Amino acid sequence: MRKRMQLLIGTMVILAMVLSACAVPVAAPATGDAAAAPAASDAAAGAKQTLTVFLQCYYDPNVEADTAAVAEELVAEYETLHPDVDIQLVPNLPAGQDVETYLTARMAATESPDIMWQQFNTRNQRGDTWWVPLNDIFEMPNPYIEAGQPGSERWADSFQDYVLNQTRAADSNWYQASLDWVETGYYYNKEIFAAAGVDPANWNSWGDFVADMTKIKETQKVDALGAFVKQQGWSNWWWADDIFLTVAWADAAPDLYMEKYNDSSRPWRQMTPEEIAKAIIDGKLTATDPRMDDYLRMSKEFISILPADYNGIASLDDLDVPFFSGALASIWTGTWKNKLYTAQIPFDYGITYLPPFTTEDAAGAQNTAYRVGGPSSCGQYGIAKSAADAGKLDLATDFLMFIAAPQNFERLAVSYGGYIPMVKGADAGEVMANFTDISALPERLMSDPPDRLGPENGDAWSQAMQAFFLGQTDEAQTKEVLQKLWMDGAMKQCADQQYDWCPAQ
Amino acid sequence: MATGSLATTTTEKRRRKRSSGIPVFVPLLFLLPAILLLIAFRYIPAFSAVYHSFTDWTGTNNAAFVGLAQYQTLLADPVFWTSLRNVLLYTFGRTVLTTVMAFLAAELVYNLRNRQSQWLWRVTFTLPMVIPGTVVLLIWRQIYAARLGLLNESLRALGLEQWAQPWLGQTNTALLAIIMIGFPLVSGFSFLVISSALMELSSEINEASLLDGCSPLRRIFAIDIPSIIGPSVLVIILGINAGLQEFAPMLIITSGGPANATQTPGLYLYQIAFTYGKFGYATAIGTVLMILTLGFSYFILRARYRGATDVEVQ
Amino acid sequence: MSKSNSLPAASAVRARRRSRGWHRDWPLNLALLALALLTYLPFAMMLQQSFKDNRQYFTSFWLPTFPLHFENYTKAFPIIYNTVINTVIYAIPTLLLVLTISGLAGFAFARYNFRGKDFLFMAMLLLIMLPGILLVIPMFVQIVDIGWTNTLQAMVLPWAAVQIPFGMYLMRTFFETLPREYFEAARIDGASESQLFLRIALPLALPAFSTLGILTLLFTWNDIIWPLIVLLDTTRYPISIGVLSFSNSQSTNYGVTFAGYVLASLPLIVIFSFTVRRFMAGLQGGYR
Repeated sequence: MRKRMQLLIGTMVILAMVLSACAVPVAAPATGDAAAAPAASDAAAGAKQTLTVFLQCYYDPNVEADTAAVAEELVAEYETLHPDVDIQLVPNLPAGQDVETYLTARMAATESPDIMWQQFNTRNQRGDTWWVPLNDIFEMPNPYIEAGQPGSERWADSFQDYVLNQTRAADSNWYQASLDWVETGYYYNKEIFAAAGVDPANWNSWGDFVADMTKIKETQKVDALGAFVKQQGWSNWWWADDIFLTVAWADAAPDLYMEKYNDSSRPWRQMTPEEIAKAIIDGKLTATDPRMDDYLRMSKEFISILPADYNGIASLDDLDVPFFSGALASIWTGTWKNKLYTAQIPFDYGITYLPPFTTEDAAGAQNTAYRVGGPSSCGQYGIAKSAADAGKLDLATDFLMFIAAPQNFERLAVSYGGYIPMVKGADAGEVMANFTDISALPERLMSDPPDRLGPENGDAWSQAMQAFFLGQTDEAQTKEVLQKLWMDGAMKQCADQQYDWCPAQ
Repeated sequence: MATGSLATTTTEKRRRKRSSGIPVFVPLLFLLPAILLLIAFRYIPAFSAVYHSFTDWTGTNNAAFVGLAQYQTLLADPVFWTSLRNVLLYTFGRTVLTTVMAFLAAELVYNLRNRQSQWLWRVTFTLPMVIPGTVVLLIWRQIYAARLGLLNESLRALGLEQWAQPWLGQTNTALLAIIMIGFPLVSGFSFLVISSALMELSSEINEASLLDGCSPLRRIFAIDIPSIIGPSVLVIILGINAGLQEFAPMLIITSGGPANATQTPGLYLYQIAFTYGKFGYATAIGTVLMILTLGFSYFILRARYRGATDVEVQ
Repeated sequence: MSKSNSLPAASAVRARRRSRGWHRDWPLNLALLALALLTYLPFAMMLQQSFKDNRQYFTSFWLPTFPLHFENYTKAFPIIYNTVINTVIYAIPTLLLVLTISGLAGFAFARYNFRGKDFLFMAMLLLIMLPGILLVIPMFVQIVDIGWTNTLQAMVLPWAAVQIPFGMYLMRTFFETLPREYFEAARIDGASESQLFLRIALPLALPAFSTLGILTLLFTWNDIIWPLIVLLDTTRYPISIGVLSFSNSQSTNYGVTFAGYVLASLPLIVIFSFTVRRFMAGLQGGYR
């Protein structure tokens, strides 16, 4: 017995020492090749240049196998065109915030995928510390776009103007090519609406909408609208916040724009981060303005029709439980839910949207609603600075142009069916079926809180509004808190970006 | 392994009663692997973190030295102070609750007369340790849901409608709700340690006390509690330590909200580092958190550790 | 654990205890049952969700629904299988390192007195208190500098380093409960110090090792952040990430995810049921 024990322990000790003494990589031929490739590329003619590509939900073999197969087909086609290139698709990451953790670590170690997805606001915050500015690349011809089509001579022409406008960073650079778009709508339970005698076709103003939703809540003993406010990170209340700010400030928009971003073909457009900062510093956009009373009132009305724990709901998915179970009459969500809802909802549902905002709702209102559509989707790709440092910029650019060509990207988008392709000439497929009216609405003047003055400032905005909703601060106090946030955020952005108009420090 | 043995004892050096001739390198040799590994993968990263708290590191830039600026920001940061208050409440509540519930369950098991059922219950409460923590959090998130949540639905079913609350959506209940996650908190290390300690009490003491007409309640206070104080210290230290660093339940359930009601330094650090990319500031929070945890633990451990060894080596 | 020489009166009590065990115990059993029901709620939920499709999951969250979707398990199995194999590849060397190094260190602290011992022990023990998340980035930068990303040792060595301070504490307290006489007798017989450790301390410490082993195994099964950061190659991801593969930020297949969790727990349950006796014995003794 003791002999055996001794032997066992002895073996254990030796094993442990061997393990800790030498580096034993787990066997992985693929990565071995990859590491060897750059060094050998000059010498051996057969050596391949490798490019790692992270397509987010367009390459997620475990969740969306069909779309992943399409992505693999595209890669195979590209590799046939370029036999000296090896494209390695990196599978999508599991849900959660971990993508930032994953990317932060990889950027610190210059191990990021060469073409990488990131949510555009956090990407723009990182700017050129992580990403290659694409401004010059957008001016180049895209060889994969058929001659004569937009983009074949100047790549930027294949994107919609408002997409380019919305994805511009605070330093006015572009760090990503935004190939698709999400549109949002109010998915509602027709049975509950009918039982309450509510028909969305009769909504002529925000006031009508709130009155009817309150009626549903009170007569049907259900929650009226699925939305929530989160203190950090995304919640669909952001959309409401954008719209209420937009409505309150709509009449002042021309005064808030900066000349250099103006485009005579689009008198109404979303403000860029630089314009927001300048308007705040110039004193044109102030949270103490009477317009903000309308903003705060509409915000309060909005939360009155939400579930009681709107401040503590962790994710929009959690609201699918009451929605599917008939305890929630409607939910404000985006096109990415289409597949699930079409296949699984156990009742008849419709898609509607906010009615126009009238001057009775807010003094500055322009008698319209605004679409929330935005580039927060799977097709937002940037080129990592580390790829450029490794001499792969040309290859990365070429592959990005290949994926962005309408005939190629359309295949991914249609197969996935959750997002609208934003490349001119690409067909949207069924995803647009219920969204034609919504997508005809003007865009928001104000972007989501983190896109205005950065993610940290955006989260602070959410927290200030939560405090207001919880009654910790009254209207006057809230307006002061918000004004301080705006001014601090604008000054910080000035310090970071050194705009030429910034006040002397 | 080369060692000295009693055969080579040098008697003239034996100054103390229990002293022996074992050279000092013997225990150090035993400790060497641990020391090397801990230096490489705990101390060096820890010192690196502390060092970076004096810089403006973003994770990718060449960090510039900024002196105490991060700590000045920290002192003036109201969110940090709120998070500190929250984590102290959380740690206190959670540690007390865990220890009390573990003791309660351990007493119930200990007082069973049937040995088989004692064994059975201990195994029953050990097995759920294999359930991944994430699953527990995902289920509890739904338990607290205002609409269709198990807690509120149960209260409504019992006619206690007025007690139903948006548990996670109000500042006055959110932290409490987080503390209560996993209730009754019996399954786990604390229960096992305390119940093992009780089982070790010689049954004679227990039975003799019963024969003496000692009521069970009196026995619990006179015999059981004093005898589990030692093991409880371990449970409490581990609880305090885990509590002060806690961020997973908040991250998965509330993101620290509403309005920072469940914000903790651990979560704040995580958000600042990975969402806002301010590693210099995050490491400053981490350093303060570390000093706090070390302080707490040091005093408890100092009280507990008095050497009990066989031999002195020179 | 009871001694053989007992009081006559006490043995009479014990005889009565054996005979009247069950019916006297029922109030206690009832209370324990209530605790157990609450404790097993997440477990039961995990099990019943694993047989649902998304429609059933959303329409009936708390109650089981029919038909049962067994195919969730066939869908989850390949990924769970691969990632469990990966986890085992990381966990076995981690376990060996943790047990060996903690055993050696615990023994040294328990059985010897030397200058600086208290300082050294405290210095190691206080490592338990380090906020782990704080060390992730510095440690990762270090791993990158050595060129170890994506390697086995980049998983094993830091994992072992996380567990060793606690392991050493556990082993110290266990070795301290061993009677001093065992070791003195062996020393007189001329045993060397390494023989004392290998022949006397280790065999007696098997229960403590099994406790430490199980706790380490649970840790390797649950850690997400470190492997996510240090493993670049997704085919090497461990089970903690494997169970999340059926979801992304747009959609989640809840039934398959929970089936994955059930499958992931199975190896632990099997190992647990084989070692439960030793595991509990390892908690006996010590800790005071």
